[in-house]
Amino acid sequence: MAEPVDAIWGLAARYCVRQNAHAFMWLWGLFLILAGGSLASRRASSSFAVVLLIFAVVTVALAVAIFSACSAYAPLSMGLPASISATDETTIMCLSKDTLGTAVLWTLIVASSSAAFGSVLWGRARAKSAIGRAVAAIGALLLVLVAAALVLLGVFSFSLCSTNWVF
Amino acid sequence: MDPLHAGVAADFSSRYCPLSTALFLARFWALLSPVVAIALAALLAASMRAYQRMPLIIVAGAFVLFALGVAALVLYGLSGCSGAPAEGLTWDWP
Repeated sequence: MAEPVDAIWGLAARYCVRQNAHAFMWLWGLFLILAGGSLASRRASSSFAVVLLIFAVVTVALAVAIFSACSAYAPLSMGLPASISATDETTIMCLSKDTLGTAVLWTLIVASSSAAFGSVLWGRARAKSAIGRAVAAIGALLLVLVAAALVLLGVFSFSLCSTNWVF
Repeated sequence: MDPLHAGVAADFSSRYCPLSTALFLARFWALLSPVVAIALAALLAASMRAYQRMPLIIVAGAFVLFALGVAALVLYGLSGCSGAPAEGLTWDWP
């Protein structure tokens, strides 16, 4: 017979899948786009294919992190006693909060970074004139800035969640 | 199982569950069928081409995998539902 904690964990895992179904579907779709893009572009540009593959792997890691955090936090949020530190509890609570927003933010980071990388590759390989190369470089720089701003937004949101919980 | 664990288990089994599983699944399969249709169309188009077939096969594979993954996700989530769904916390669409 299953232990109560095992039974609760199994139910919490299914509960988290239902609660964050749209985020998981979104991340699964993003993973397939990135993996498919990596597969399709491996002959045209192996470095771009590797970048897409790395993003695909990080997307899976993000989904696993959200699922693990939610499954671990759900029983605590229902009032079961915690066997972890308050800091860890805050971390898993913030990871399992607004998961669709996190997935969309990650998608925007991936899209702007991939576009920046693609712009650099296009400027080096296809741009015929100096103006074309300059436009590609400026575009890549702007896209990198956008990606960096989005990463900072993610870090800021996570920090805000943590401090709100503490204070 | 003690009353606290039993209460939490009951909450986990009722929250974010559909009001009607049959209606939910019917809507879900209806939403998923265009994805499968696109995958089949891409496969058909790939089979009719003599060259440049790989991109279409990749697209078809991605759509098939998306449909399979989403179906597995939804069915796994639904398998945790039992009893009456919680008021205000229902899973209305897949």
